[in-house]
Amino acid sequence: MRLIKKLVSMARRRSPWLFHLNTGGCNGCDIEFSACLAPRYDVEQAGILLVGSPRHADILCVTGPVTRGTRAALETIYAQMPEPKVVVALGNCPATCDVFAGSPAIEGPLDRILPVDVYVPGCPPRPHDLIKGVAQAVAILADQQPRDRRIIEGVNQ
Amino acid sequence: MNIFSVLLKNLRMGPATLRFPEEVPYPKGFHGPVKIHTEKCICCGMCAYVCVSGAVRVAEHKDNCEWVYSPGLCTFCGKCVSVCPVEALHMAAKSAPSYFNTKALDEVHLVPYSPCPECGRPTPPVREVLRAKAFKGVAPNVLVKSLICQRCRQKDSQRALVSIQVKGEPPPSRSDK
Amino acid sequence: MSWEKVFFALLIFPGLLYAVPTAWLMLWLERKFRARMQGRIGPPFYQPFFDFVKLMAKRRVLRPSFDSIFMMGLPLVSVSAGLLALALLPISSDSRGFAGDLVLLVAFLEVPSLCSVLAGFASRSIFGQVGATREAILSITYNLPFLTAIVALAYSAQSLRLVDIAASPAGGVRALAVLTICLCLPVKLRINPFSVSNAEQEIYSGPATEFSGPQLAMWELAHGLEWVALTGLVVCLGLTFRTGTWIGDFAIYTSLSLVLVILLTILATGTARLKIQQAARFYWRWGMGLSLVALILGVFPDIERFIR
Ligand code: SF4
Ligand code: SF4
Ligand code: SF4
Repeated sequence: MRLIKKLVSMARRRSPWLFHLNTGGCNGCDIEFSACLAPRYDVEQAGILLVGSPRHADILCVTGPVTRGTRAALETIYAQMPEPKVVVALGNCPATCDVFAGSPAIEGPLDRILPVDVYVPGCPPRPHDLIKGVAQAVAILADQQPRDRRIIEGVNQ
Repeated sequence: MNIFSVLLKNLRMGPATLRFPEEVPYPKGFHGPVKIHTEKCICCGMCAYVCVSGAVRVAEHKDNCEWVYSPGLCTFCGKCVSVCPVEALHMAAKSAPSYFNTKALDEVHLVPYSPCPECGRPTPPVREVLRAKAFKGVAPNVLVKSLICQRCRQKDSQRALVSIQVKGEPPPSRSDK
Repeated sequence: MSWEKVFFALLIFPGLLYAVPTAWLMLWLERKFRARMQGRIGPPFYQPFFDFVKLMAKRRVLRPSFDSIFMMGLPLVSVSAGLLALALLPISSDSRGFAGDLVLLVAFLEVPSLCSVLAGFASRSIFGQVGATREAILSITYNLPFLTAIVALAYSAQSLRLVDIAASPAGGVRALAVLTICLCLPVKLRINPFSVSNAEQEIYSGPATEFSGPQLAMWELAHGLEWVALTGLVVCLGLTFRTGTWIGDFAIYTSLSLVLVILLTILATGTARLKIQQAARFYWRWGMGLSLVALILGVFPDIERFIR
């Protein structure tokens, strides 16, 4: 049993599949995200794959503040992902709404809607920071710590 | 060019990828989070005024002023750095680490006021840089007024007005303390 | 065939124990080679294995009961069909086969695509349905030349046994028929330029869009087994000699399959997705042309002799 658990944890660490969703950002983060997939950064070397269907994904990468129009889609997509799953907020938009804060069309920030596990700061973040953020999410995925403890630890950091 | 010859060329040249822990070095003049030297700040509030997303806020209190910065709201445009009259701000050469709580990166800095040389009340500090910049070529008897607090300056002006208009004398001169 | 042999073929070589690691190896080779040609590093060799383990360890998403029977069953059927097809391949010279195993093999090779059509409709997702429709249309277009080539092979060898066909002398018929089967490989494996049915990003993942966790793992495995079986089929039918020793056959068979995987990957990387009409036109023009020539040569062997 222990061995299987270890193997599963290893597998989760080595093959995180991402689903990427723009919830109304300026597209800056999405461009940097695409750069991660391109030859220079090539996240596939770590087994990271961009998948087309939320049903296949382990990590939900959200960019953009959550607009009214995208909120329903965001919630559906999150619900469609099978457990275990983690949410990574890419860029400042999902964290605080950034330049869009205060707009009547915005329902964000993201943590009002979903439990967010990792925030990657930057507007947009560098591709390398994105990869580091995803790596942190992967560690969370592999160890499966309960969510609340992580958040408390985050405050202390 | 034929696509297959491109593929062959790629194959021959080897991958252009960085192995994961390897990093692209940060470029010169990279726009990281904004940092402040509190000993240079004069609490003018220009940075808060130009900030497009309200990442910098300056609040004045009785004996200090509060400079609050949330990197989570910042767009790293560098506007605040370029408008700061005393160059108290600069941008970090590296980006911030990822975090787990939205308030984790917020920074609060207190800029202490210095006492007014005339009345001793706490007043926003005046730095030499600012004096050199803003009061260049000003007569020394006016220059000394840049150090005192707003109230003392008003009093001074009133006194000068009274002596010229009412008494018809030249205004009282003040020596640099 | 004795029972031990059947079990050996099913479970050890070229069945489960050989085929599953080879399937993962081929999936990896395809990804790695494509990455290299695009100037990237690509995944490490254990990637498909860990993908599989991770997917197996994901929690299931509950579905209405009838759908879930289909969605659990179809990938399993697909995997078993792949294994059964592999067990029938005449790899080593001491395999005997039985009369009619060619027909069975062709049927088994068609099962994964049938399963994915059914799965696309059973998943009730619009992308799955679009993918399933495309898969169904494509299977009509490529099966015509594919089956004609098989018929030509069988006719010229005058047998429905795979061993007999593999042992039949090399000639124009065989070359043309194997070439036609090669032409059908990309579309059967759903890779570029014929990745119409599972068109990535265009209709998400086609029929597999709604599948998650263990079921998706089974799909991936079935896809890998398809790679093994189809490249194996081409190697078995195309190779005109056997070394006679078990090890030699094994080595030649495996290495040629891997070479075929690399060739297919080059094709997939260098091309873009065609429209379904273009794919159909290609198969009905070139595929049918080639296989009809093979059939005519097979039925009238005199023509070939005359040309010679
Ligand atoms: S964080 Fe900045 S770059 Fe990213 S989507 Fe928002 S505004 Fe655009
Ligand atoms: S860099 Fe731009 S967004 Fe950030 S605090 Fe300065 S002015 Fe505001
Ligand atoms: S940091 Fe510069 S611009 Fe901002 S309040 Fe201080 S002196 Fe003024």
